[in-house]
Amino acid sequence: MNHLFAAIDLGSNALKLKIVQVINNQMETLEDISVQIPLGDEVFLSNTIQLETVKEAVETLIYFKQVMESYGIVAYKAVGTSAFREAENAKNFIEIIRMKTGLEVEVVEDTMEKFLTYKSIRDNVSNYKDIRKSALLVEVNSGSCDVSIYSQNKLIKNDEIRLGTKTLKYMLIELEKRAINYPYVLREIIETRTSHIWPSIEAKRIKHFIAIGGEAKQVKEILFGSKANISMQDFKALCVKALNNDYELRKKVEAKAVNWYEFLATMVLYDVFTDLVDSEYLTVPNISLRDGILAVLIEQAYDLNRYKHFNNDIYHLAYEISKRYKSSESHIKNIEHNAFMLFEGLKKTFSFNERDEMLLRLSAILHEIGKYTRMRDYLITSYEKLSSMDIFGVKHNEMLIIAHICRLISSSETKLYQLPPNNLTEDEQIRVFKLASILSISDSLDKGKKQRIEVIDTVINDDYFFINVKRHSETILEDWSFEFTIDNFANTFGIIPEIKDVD
Amino acid sequence: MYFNRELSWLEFNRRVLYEMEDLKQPLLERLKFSAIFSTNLDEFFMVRVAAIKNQISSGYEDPDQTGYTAKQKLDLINEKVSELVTLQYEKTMIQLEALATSGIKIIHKTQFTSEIITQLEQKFNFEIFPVLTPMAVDFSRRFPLISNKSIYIGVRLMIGMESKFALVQVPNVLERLIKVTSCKESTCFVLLEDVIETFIDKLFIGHQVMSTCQFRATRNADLNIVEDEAEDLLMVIEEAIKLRKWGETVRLEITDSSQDPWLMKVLEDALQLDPTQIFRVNGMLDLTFLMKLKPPKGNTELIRMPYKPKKYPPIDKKNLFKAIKDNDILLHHPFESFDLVVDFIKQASKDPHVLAIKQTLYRVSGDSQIIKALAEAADKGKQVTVLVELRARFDEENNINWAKKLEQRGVHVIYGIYGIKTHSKITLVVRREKNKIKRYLHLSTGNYNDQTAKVYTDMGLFTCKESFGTDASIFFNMVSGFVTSVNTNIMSVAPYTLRQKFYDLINREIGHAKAGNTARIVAKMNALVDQELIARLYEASRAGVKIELMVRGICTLVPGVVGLSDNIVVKSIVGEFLEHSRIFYFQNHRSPEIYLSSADWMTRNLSRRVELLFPVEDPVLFKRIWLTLQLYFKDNQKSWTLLSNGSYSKTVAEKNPVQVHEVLKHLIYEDDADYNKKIQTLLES
Repeated sequence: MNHLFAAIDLGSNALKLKIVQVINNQMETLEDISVQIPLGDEVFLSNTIQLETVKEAVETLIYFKQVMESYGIVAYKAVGTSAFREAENAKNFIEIIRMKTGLEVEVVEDTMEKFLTYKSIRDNVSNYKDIRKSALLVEVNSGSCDVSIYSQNKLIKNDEIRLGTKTLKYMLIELEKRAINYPYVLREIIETRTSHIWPSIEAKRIKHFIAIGGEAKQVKEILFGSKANISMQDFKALCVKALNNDYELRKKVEAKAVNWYEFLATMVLYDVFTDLVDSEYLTVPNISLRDGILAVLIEQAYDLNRYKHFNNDIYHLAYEISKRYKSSESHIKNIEHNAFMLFEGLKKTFSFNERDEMLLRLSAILHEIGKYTRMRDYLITSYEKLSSMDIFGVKHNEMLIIAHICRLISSSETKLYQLPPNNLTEDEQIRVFKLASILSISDSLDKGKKQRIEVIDTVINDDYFFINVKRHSETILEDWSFEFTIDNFANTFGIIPEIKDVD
Repeated sequence: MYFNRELSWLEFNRRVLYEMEDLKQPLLERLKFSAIFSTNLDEFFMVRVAAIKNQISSGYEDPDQTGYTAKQKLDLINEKVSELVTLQYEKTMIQLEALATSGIKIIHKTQFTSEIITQLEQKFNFEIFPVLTPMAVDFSRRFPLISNKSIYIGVRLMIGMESKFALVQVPNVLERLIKVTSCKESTCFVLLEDVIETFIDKLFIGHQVMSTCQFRATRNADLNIVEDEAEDLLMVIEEAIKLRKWGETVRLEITDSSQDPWLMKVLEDALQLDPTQIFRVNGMLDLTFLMKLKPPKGNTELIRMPYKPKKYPPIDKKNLFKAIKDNDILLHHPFESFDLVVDFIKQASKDPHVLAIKQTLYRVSGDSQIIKALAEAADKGKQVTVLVELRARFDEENNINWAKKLEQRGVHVIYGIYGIKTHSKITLVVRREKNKIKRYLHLSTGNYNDQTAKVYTDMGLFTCKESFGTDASIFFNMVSGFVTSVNTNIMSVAPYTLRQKFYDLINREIGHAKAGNTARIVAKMNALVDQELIARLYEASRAGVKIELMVRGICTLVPGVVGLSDNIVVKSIVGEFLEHSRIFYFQNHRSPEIYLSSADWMTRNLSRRVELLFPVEDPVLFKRIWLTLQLYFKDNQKSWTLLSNGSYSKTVAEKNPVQVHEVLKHLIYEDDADYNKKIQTLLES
């Protein structure tokens, strides 16, 4: 087996390559290269990546390729982030990279970028267990500010606020023309725009403050050297200096070729959020998107279980959302469980993968959120809400699939649902039908929302799909409801579902 | 308080000259020091004096750290050079006379007998004359360009009633030393320029030759490359090399035999020289030819038998990688053979498990086995990356040739970082072993040059420690020009972290001294010039840190000054081998540390070059270097002591003589532990 893995991150400010080798399931870094190329600046100003920058980036990637070849790397993943998401010529750029270097670049969505970065905490932060118990994570980047909460080993919050350093920079430049104390004015703006999430943060009495992302690392490197934990007292003293537009500080920052306004915007954002926690330190962990990519590559290669908690964060967040929409927790847990059992029985025969499992489970967890605003046709409302929702770790087209699955749950009637033709591919539509059929059965088995049926296991035998269940009481409603799902399931999978009781 | 660096350099060259006095050395070996003196002085004029002349011509009048203006410096240099050259000729003549009694004579043209003239005339007519190109100077023909370091014959011709100037370049294509067979008792040589001057009439038939002289010009040879406009550094340097021949003249050497002031005036005007730049030479020009003097067959007393480096360490050379994996390996050249380094590259080029080889090349020898091995590795599909420092002074042409050849073979050739020379010496071999990547390294204080490794003392370390490998990868990414931040773990890299590292190490000793502990710095290098660093050494001395420095060449630190540097001792060893290793020992109370480096304590090394400093962690090797360093200070035969007035003194001990080069040449040892035991005994005796 190949023990070498490489991750390339084509980020907004730099192109980065990391190569690791895995020995006894532990990662050992062989290379970690970062080359400054400000793709993001250009995209922000002109929506395109200019030819000169394309050339520079390609030269760098050729070098990365050489370095990869010097280790005989086969397993790699190259991802483009916000600059690629936003540049109008991103597809051309990716094609040029492919032609000149042979590297295949995949553009990752924001939610996936965050998920992968958080996942890298597992291998790169020694006290990750403490962090998962109680921490506020704030990532300031060029386009937005991302706020997450870990509580009791779960990710329970992940909100994006549209306040990034690039926007705030121009705001500060404008404010400077109007007020001497312009940093304080910016602080007021940030307070106004973030105050709605303060109560949920304060209520958790958070113990750790984690600053992540390139901007935080830059602040740390310029002013605090290499130490990961910065005393909160020192950090707050620095915030005061920044807010007071301290000349010496500005000189020091600018001497490192860092834009003062972007630095100031970062400091003000962190100043606001650090006020909400009771932490002795501000931690800037050495985590990155490329570490997350490597975690995925290694997880796939070795079938590791160590990222389980981080992978489950997607479900934790989904549960938090369903809770916010007052879904019945016992019901969704039951149908998630039963759907999962059915899925496990079908997985091998119908070549389902782990992303299918995730889509099914998320659909189970989220299918009822429409009820919060409308009882009648609530699945349509769920569909509408889910179609425009972003969930940490879930791609946008996957969210659309989830929305469609929820819309298609049918455990009381057999009408056919017409999928909108434009927003899903044919393959995706088939996935929707299959997963919706499973979820429909699972939903029917808890029609009375009393969790009276528990799926124990399943067996495929010739034309039948036997569902072995344990009943806890009378299940007339569920049995009747199940009958509505049989045809749909049989038409989708070519096997007939049948419930069997086990002792 | 600092010594002037140029004057300090001239003091070094004086020490070279004094090596001619060592009667224990065979005659021809002694004469080689005269040749080395001349080569050194040529370079000094081409680079240092040229720079001072540039300062003067650009009107720069600020005094330097030692309080001298450029003009004052130039005057002092000229004065000292005159004194040293006079000394050189005196000493050389004494040795040549002794050589004559040993059967080798160099016959001056004034001593040519009729028999010799007859023999030489034939040689002139058939071999020399056809390659000579006499050039006349008049109104219609500009004064020809005088090539750097070439010997010319200047001629005053009488044409009609007018004196005209003509000149002839002594061709470099012909051997300068011509053997005269008509000498019966001795092996006799004459110099080519003397032969040409003798028969100069034959070049100007129909004109009367009134007088002649021999002269030689030295030109500014420092390459000023405007990199801003340099799209292709290779091409720019090729151009600059062509132009070097024609830089501004900084020195004119002229034979004293010419008494014609007219000739002198013509040259002075044509080359736009100040009288202080003209050096009259009593005898032969350009004594570098002394290096080429060979003894007659069978007479081995005149030369030292070539030293054969030890084959060390006793390991299975077929599997060097395993040997390195077992233990770090230290080599001390030239006492221990450089072959192992060549074998390392060769083995890497052939080993199917090796994926990549990365190396820095600064000065490469003419027939480099390393270059061949690198090219072969590329042929075998390995990824080979070589950083060729094109701007290694006076080696540019050689480096360009290698760079081109390697590129043609598929090697990734890189030319270093914008504006700074890459002077570090490092090789990284990436090898796949049982599904694990292992990085093997060779780090050295000296260049990858198998020829100079026979005469330069350097230390090299083989290791495969992961911490070194990680830093090496970071280093190569940095020199590739893609990465600007250098966050190495145990190595320090100039111009980024090395200076601060030295400051930290010195400051730590100051801290120990102030805490009442013993504090000590022992360092060996080629030159000590950096003002800031010297200021810290003064501070350390004042704090009570004992500082022992072994500085082969320039040292601008003033030792032994009460209240400033009374704890500092500076020594210098000039001997059979050129001292080149850079070793730094810091006592650190009870946890001493030793580092090796490619860098001297010069501003250019710390601020304008890519250099490496690395620790030696293996305890046995650590001890070995520490004992070797102490042995250097124990030398009482070739060791000079710098005095606080800037001069050097040497006392040669009669009793218990210790000569480091001799000890290390002849010491027989089985392994590092045995070496340590034997040196320890010697130090204690």
